[in-house]
Formats: sequence, structure tokens, C-alpha cells
Amino acid sequence: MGISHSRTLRCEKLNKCFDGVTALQAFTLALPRCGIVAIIGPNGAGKTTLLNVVTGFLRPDSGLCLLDDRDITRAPPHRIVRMGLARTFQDLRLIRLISVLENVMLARPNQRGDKLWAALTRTGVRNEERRNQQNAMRLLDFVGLAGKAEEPAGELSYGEQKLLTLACCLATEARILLLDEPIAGVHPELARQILGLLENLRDSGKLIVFIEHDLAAVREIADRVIVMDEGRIIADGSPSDVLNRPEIMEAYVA
Amino acid sequence: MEYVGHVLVFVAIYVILAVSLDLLAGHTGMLSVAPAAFYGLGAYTSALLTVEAGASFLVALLAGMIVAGVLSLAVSLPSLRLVDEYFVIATFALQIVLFSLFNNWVSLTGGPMGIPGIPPPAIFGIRVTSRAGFLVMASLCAGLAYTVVWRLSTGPFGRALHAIREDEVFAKAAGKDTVRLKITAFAISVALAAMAGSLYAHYISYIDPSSFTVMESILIISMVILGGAGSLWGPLIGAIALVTLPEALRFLGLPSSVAANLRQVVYGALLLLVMLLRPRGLVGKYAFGQ
Amino acid sequence: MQYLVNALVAGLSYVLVGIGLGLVLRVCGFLHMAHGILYTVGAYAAYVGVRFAGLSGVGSVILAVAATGLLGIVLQRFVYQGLQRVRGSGLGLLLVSLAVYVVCQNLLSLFFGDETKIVDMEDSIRVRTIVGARITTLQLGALSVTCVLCAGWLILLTYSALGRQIRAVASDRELAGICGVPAERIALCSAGLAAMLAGAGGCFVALDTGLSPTMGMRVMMMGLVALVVGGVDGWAGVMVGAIALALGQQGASVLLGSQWQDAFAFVLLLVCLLVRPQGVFGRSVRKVTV
Repeated sequence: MGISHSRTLRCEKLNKCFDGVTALQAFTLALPRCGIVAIIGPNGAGKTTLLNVVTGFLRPDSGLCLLDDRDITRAPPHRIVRMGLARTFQDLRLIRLISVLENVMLARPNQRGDKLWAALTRTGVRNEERRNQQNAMRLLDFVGLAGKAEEPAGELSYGEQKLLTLACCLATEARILLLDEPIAGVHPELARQILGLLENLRDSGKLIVFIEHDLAAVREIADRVIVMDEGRIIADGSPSDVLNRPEIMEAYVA
Repeated sequence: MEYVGHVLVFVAIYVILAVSLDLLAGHTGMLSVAPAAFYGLGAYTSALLTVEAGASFLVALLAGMIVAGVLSLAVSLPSLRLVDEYFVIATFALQIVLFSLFNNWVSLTGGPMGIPGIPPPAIFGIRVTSRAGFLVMASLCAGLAYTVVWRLSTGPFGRALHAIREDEVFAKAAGKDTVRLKITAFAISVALAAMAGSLYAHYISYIDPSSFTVMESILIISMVILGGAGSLWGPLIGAIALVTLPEALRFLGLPSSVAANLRQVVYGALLLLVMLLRPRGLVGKYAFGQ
Repeated sequence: MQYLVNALVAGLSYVLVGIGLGLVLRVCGFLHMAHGILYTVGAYAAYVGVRFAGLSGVGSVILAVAATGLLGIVLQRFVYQGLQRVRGSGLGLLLVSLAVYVVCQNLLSLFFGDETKIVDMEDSIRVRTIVGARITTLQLGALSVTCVLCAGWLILLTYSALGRQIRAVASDRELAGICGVPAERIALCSAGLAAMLAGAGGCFVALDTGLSPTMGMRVMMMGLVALVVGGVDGWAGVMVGAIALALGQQGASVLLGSQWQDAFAFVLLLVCLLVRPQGVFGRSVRKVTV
């Protein structure tokens, strides 16, 4: 099965039911330390539910989620983020009224200024804000949004907002990034840019797990593909293995 | 001049109430229908401690703030994990219950007769008996409340609160412990309201339940919404406007019972108009209901 | 046994107001904080009917129900609907309804005066003894009518076309609209029905014990607690909640003293939110994300 210390994120027999609809059925998965893993499957397969359960936004009916052998099944989302697992949302969640830079700064971890006493007395907060701002600008640079740092996030184009959500995700300094449809709805050039960024991140030691419908993109950058249907895994392997099997494609299209 | 001083004292007290509610409602997006209940809690705690137990003013003031803060947990802990409406329901229930206790627990609170003979404040032996002296004290307290809310609504803490207001899910995904932040904002908000209550009790020297009804809560909400929620000037302007406006009505010479009801009709109508036509208020940044 | 009777009589107000609150919440999408005023208006309509038009008990009920039904529809159509179309959020409408409450309660005070009024009716004085408990003819009548109304309401919901449409809009407004259900018209009907039930409750209490402009606020809170405890999701849960609440209040009153009645309601609410927030019959209400 593999040496346990090379596993980072593990799910064991996750079950989740909504009003009689089974979203996850005895779902079991073990992910490596780094790489790019794609999760594909038809609508209603349980992909987003899986994401919600793993990141603490939903409680499974039964089963376990383990991060570095620590039980995160019932942990609240913010604690999971601090443990190194961050996510984006399918419907681009952002704070639209504040600037791009402020959105990224929001996601920076361990902010002293979040604590009541420091907020009231402002001890050390100014320096920390300056450091966070520099970090945030570096991240915006990485995704290519440095020029729009001061603009309100709501005024960015759809594609730019997608880049921003990626930057916010990175700002948390998480080692594992769970991305829900990172290139859906953006034009091909930007998609290429985003895919390039993901490969970059993989090369720097992160684990990228993304849900996607674009099979060409999956084929291009994924090291491993997991196919879900009706709450369970129906295939798991390299893109060439999985994407060439007719019965998988049938399940997908059906 | 005495009259102007009197009005200004009330402006200071209501600035504290409005600004503290704004921290909760305007900056964090949590609507509470109970500011008057905590205002009353501070007033009664402070009054009872000084009148019955002979405590000093500062101790009584602090005690009121602590009691309010602790009681706020009774509302926040059960309701904050649930959808927004439950928090409002819980604060509404608390408002009704506290008023009911003020009014019916006669052995402790004197019931509808209230508590008379509350001593004027004494700070380190200096008694504040003149109106001017009280105005200075009230203004200092208002300044303190204002500074606290200013500090908490700007910088990283303010950013976190605003994120909770705009999209709590995103705030969580960005690593913020939103429940802890909300509990904190609520506790600070009610502690400041309790401070205002203590000031009120020791200024007027007599309190009764009729000052701490739901109507009073709605008045405070109106000040925040009229001035503009989520801004630093908004609650200030709202408080000044809604304290001085009825004083202007006074010159119309209406019988006092009619005046009271008419005043409230005007507040209600103003709130209604603002919510329907310009929910951002005069200078606000946040509109409830969007 | 007397306690049971007392609880039932108190509970009938809670259930009538609670049903309406639940209906408006699920169909119109917001917590109608002015619902208590419909109860009060029903009470005053009955008062006017008996005092000035010499109506009998039955006549005054009909008048009360008609008057409040009309008011409920007017409010929904001219105050709330506009805001619902433009911005959907529940909290904004909640604030608007608070404003409506303030205006209406104070208008009632201006018109009728603040003091508690009594309606002299023979039926409310004639006492019978049933199974060892004393109950007046009027109370008996009120209880019977309430039972009929509750049963009728459940039958309407389950078997009639209107009931089906209400349930459709309550469960998914958009989807219902796509399927051809006129959501706005259903919202108006629901507002009217909810108002009529509340008005009936107010009328009974007016004829039984008396009325004052502030009577609606407390009952509304009780109706809310009954709704939360019984389960916001279901349609019959509130009836169970109302009985449980009323019984518990009787118990608290007897064991601890009548000033703790409302505190009991608050504690019940808190316990419910902590232990089973969806209520006895409801489904989950925790914050869930997409």
C-alpha cells in the first residue's frame, strides 16, 4: 500500500447522505505528498461534496479524514486551513468591496492583528501588516495580478477573479491546495497560464488536487486521475490509463 | 445652558450605544435586537451594586460590563453555529426576558417602581455632582468607546470582521476563526452598552424598566441605520440626530404621553423610509439586506 | 388539571401566532417581526366591535379576523413586496418589519391610549368546571375554535390546491415559479392567512383578559420560541412547541414564581438551540456551504 509517511491526505470510508441522496459512499482515498491530482466525474458524482467534507465545511455521516495522520474529520475549516489544507470555491467567493491586495492579505496566516489585545493596542501590528503586504504583493506578482492590486475585487474580470482566488489560496501557505474547477469558464490563454502556475506549484513541492471537466487539461498536467461516480471512485491511475478506458468515458458521458 | 448640557450628556450616552451596536451590526453584520437589554443590565447592575452593596462607582461600572459580556455568551454560543436568523431570534428573546425580569423580579429590581437614590459617581474619592463634570466624564467614556470600535473596525481585525460580514464562508476558508471573532465582537459590543447604562443610572439617579424596552433597542438600531452602518461617522451622526430631534419636538408643546408616542412613530417611520429608500443611511458603507 | 387548562389557554395564543410566523418565514422568506402587531390589532378590532358596535363574541372574532387579514395583505403588498423584489435578504426585511411594528404600536397608543382595557362580556365571566378545572365559556369557545383552526390549517395544507402551492413555494420559491406557481400571489395569501390567525388569537385574549398596545410583543416571542422548538421545517411542529412552552411556563411559574415565566421560554430556546437546533420535527439548520 505504500509507506505511511509519504501519505499526506487520507479519506477512509466517508459516507454522506442528503435527504436520501447519497453523495459519498464508503469513499476511500490516499493522496501523495506532492503532485497534481485531478478528480473528474459527471455532475452529482460527489466531487464538491468530497471537497466540502475534507475541508471541514460539511460533516460526514461516518468515516475519517486524516491529514498527516491527524484526524480532521470534525475539525472546523479554519483549523484545517492552518494545518496546511486550503481550497477555492466553484462560485468564486471573494470580498468584492475591498481591494485585490486586501483580499490576499486577509488570507495570510497567523495574524497577530486578529487577536483582540493586539487589535486594541496595535503592538507589532504595523510591522506585521507591512510584511503581509509584501508577501501578498509577491503572490499577486506570481499570478500576474500585481497591476490590479489596489482595485476593488468586484471590478476584476471573471478570469482575473479566478487568479485572485488562487492567490488567496496560496496566501494561506497551505501545502495542499484543493481547487474547484480552476479553469472553468476562462478563455484558453488564461487557462494555459493557470495550468502553468499549477505545474509551477507542483514543482515547488505542493500537492494540487483539482476538480475539472476539461479532460484535455487533465491529460496535460495531471500525474494522477481519480474518476468519481455516484459517490465512489470508479477509476484511479495515470491519465493515459484512465482516460483511454471506454467504460470510464461512458460513465462520464452518460 | 443647563438644558444644553443635559442634552449633550444624552448625546454622549447614545453615541456609546450606537457605536457599540455598529461594531456588531455594521462591521460584523450581526443584527442584535437587544442593545437596550444590555444597556439596562449595565444600569441595574451598577445601581444595585452601589445602592445595595455600597460598591464604588468604578467597580460597579466594570461589574456591569463583565456581567453583560458573560451573559452575551448565553446568546452567542448556542446560536452562532446556525443560520443568521437564529442569532436575531436569540437576542430578541433575551431582550424580552431581561425586560421581563427588570419588571417582574420586584424583590431585586423594584419592579416597575425601579431603583431610586442611585449615588452620583465618585472616582477615587472625587464626586461628580455637577452637570459639567458629568458631561466631561460621559464624553471621555464616549471617546473611549469610539476608540475601541475604531481600533477593532480597522486593520487586520476590522478586515476579518468585514470579511465575516460579506462572506463568512470565504473568511473561514481564509483561515479565520469566525465563531471566535463573532463572539468577541458581540461581547465587546454589549460591554460598551452596559457602560452606557451605568453612566445613565448614575446621572439620572433613578432607573426603571421602561427605559430598556424593545422600543429602545429599535431606537438604537435606527440611529445606526440612519447615520449609516459600518462607518465610523454614521452612528455618531445618527445618535446626534435622533437625540436632538425630539428635543426640537418638545417646543411644540404636546402633552407628554402623546409626545412620547409621536416621537416613536417618527423614529419608526424614519427607519422604514431609510430601509426602503437608502439603506446605506447618510454616510454608511453597509446596507442591511443586500 | 387547572394548570393544564391554564397552559392550554395561554398556548392558544402562542400556536396561532407561531403558525403565522412559520408560514411567513417559509413562504415570504423573512422573520416577520411585526407579526405581534397583527395580534394586537385583532384585539383592538374586537374591542371596537364589542364596545362601539355591540357585536357578540362571534361577531367580534369575524371583525378581528377580517381587519387583521386586510392589514396583513396590505403590509405584504405595499411594504415588504417591493423590498423582496429588489433585494432578497431576510435581514433587511426583518428590520423593515421592526420599523412597521414601532409605527403601528405607537399609532395604537395614540389612538386608544396606553392603558389596559377590559372588554365586558358575560361569556368571559361565566365559569364552568370541567374535570376539576375552572374554565370560562369564552375560554372554552376559544380553545375549540383554535383546535378547529389548527386542524383546518393542516387539512388546507395537505389536501387543497392552495396548500400544495404554499408548500411548493415554501420548499423552493424559484422552482415553484418555474412550475407555474404564482409565488407573489401565494405570498400575499400566506400573509393574509397568517395575519388572520394572529388576529383571532388577539381577539380571544382581548375578550378574555383585556388588551393593551404592548401585548403583541411578548406573544410574538413566545410564538417564535414555539416555532423554533417545534421545528421551523415542519408545519405541525409549532403546535407541539406551543403546548410544551405553555406547560413549561406554568411549571416554572408554580415552582419558581411568576416572574420566571419568560425566563423559562428563553432557557427553553437556548437548550433547543444547543441540543437540537432544528427543533423536535425539523431538519438540519446548521450553516452549510455550496
